[in-house]
Amino acid sequence: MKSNLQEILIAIGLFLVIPTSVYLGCKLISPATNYKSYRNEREAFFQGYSHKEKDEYAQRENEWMQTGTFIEYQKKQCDIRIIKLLVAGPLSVILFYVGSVFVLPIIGAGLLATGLSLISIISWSNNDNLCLLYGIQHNWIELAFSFLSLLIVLWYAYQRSERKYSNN
Amino acid sequence: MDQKIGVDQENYRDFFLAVSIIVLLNKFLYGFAESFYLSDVLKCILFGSVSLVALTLGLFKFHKSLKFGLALGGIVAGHFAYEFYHFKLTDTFKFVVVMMLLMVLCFALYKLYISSQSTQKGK
Repeated sequence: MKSNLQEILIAIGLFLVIPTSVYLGCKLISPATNYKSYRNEREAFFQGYSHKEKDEYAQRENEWMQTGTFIEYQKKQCDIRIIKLLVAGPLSVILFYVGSVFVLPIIGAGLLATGLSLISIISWSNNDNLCLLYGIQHNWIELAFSFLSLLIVLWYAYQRSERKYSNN
Repeated sequence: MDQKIGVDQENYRDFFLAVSIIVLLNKFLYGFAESFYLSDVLKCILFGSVSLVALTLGLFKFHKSLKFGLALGGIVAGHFAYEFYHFKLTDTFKFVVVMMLLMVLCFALYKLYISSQSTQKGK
């Protein structure tokens, strides 16, 4: 019973610590963005333009996309997304693998849950198709990671299912 | 006693494996549809067909976490297929789809009934 509780505590600890450290680590190495000043600049640029006048607003939006502030902001967002994808993506695949095969079942379950939370960290980052990494769209890398994770999870679930079936 | 605890603990892992299958299956399908810029009709067909296959495999073929993962993943994918459904279909087609789903569920219920009967006989 005691070791059971210990396992649960360790699993909860891992579930809390791994995604937090990934998130903070990514934040540390990502370029700093001042969201407040960006929002203020955007609001000032759109001053006097209303959503109701669609054509004028769309034209103003096109003009905004040509400004240095927007281009710089966009580039930073792309960098942040790449960093999150390249750190959390492989880590989530590893966690799904280790979680499926780990000897202690509760820790394994915790690692699987941690893998899921890393997947959500990737999904929360800015989803912008304009970002290109060496000519490859981010979506493709994300798709590859989720496909790999799905294959791992399906394979081990299949093996467990077969084992259960043969035991019966 | 120790063996019982081991089995109970494995159930936690089975639960999270099933949740992972549900999330990853739908995330992969969604990412696939987005990456290939599929139209709503194609998205609906993709999610709908995967949903039917996953439901059928989950309900009839596999056991434990894979069964729950595929069956629930199939239901979630079916829900997404319905979300993308913006095109007009005839009522007959809708009726056929619903009848197919009903048949799948009836067959699953029948198999469940048979297995529960055999378990009772075993006791």
